[in-house]
Amino acid sequence: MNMSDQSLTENGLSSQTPAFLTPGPDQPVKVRVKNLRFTYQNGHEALKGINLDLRDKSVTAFIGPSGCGKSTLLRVLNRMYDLYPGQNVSGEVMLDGRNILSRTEDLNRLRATVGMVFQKPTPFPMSIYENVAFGIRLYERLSKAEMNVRVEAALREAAIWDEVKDKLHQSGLGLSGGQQQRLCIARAVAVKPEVLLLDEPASALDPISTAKIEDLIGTLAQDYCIAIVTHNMHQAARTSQYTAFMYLGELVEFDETAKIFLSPRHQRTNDYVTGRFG
Amino acid sequence: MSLSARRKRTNRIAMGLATLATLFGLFFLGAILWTLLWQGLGAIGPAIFVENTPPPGSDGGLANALFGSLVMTLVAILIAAPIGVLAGTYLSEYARGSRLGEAAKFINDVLLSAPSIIVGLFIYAALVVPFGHFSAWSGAVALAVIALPVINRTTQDMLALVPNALREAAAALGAPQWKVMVFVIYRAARSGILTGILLAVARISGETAPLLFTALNNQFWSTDLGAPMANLPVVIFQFAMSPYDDWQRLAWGGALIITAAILALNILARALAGTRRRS
Repeated sequence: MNMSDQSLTENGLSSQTPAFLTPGPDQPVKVRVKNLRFTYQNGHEALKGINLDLRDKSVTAFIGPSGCGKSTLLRVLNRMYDLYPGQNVSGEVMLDGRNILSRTEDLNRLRATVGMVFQKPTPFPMSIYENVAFGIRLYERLSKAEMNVRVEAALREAAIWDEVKDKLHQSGLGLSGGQQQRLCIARAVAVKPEVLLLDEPASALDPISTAKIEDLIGTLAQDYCIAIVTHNMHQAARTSQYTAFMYLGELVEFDETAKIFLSPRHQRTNDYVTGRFG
Repeated sequence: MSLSARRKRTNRIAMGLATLATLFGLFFLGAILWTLLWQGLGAIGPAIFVENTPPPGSDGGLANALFGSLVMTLVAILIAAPIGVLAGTYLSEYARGSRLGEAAKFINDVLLSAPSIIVGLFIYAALVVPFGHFSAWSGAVALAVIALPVINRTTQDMLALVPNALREAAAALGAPQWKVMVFVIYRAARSGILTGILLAVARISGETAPLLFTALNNQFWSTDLGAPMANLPVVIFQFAMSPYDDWQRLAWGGALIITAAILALNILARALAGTRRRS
């Protein structure tokens, strides 16, 4: 262990040079957000004209103080907000060139394409196997053998197979918090989405589980376009190629993660990532 | 007197009063159960389950009344459970915040505490008078009307206990709302909803007033739902008020049977609710 590692906790990110992930060469834009505005039922404008691109096979981290709109933005990307009445959205969200905010969008299909993992692990009250099979059955008719293959593949992809392979038919509620969260990730990737939205996926977990989830995000980024909301600066720095800093419903700065953390253009971004505010 | 001594004394007084109040309540429960056992056990024997209600002065049992109560309760629950669960689902999941939903919830809560004799009179006017005679069907419908708001309300309450995160998680996989409900939310609330249905069974199996106006009574064994049918509560009512010793003895036996059955249902309901907490 060298000295710079030990100074990590004392001096924050700036004192050492972590190995930032660099964006892959010219990944295409998967999701393009154009002039997105969002208003809650109570009239609170949570997003005030957001423009940004999410690139395929990359991780984009959303950081910012509570209430800045980052979770709201994520919940627009799979139109989760549609579950509740009275919320108003304008602007465009283009997924592979198709505006998913259009009235004619098939929301169930959209949500199968844009998967989401939530802050609190939410296993369904059924067996581990059924938790994963549930989503697959929604859109595919598979034989028992094919289903077994798919379930195993999803559980392996979420790095939880070895821990659950002997108890697939036990309740998913019996797993630890970290395992439950990886089960939820397995459930999300099982339906073969193209985009994965992670809303503070590790904030309710212990450090070891968190490390496993972060490793997993790195692996998943080889196949998916990932957007992650996090309150943990280190996590954003460790897991993402791009970082978006949001404040009071506006996108203050959006760039490659290394630039956001090492040479931000805005003072507010600098203050936030160095822990002086937020 | 020091502050802590004063607090200790206040605490002892409050504890003493609370204990007294508990004992006061438990005393009557114990007295009722004791009297029931004392008077009722003597009447319990094979005959009470196999012989029909007798005329005064001869031997008999409660077989026809037991059968009638069982059948009418079963029919009532078969009517009330699907409607109650679906209505509870609608009010809790689909009509949240809407005017119709709020109004229906309020009316349901009023029905929940409606006196059962009113329900009996209502079914009397709605079914018995048009058909011209008392019948087990109208008795079952009256019991269903009493069970319905109970099942509706517990379904609402149990669905409200299912965290929203679970609905969002299922929707986030692309599941349409009906699949979210049927495969995820009902499963999460299953034992609670079943508990509600069992408690509704317990509630209606002791109802007398609505049956007086609807199923009335029958001295004989009858399996015809279109005709008056014997049932435990009305038989107990009639026999207990009578001057005949043997009828009174049967009434005690019937009361003991009903009480034991309700106690068993409540224990079963508690056990079910317990499994939910553990899973």
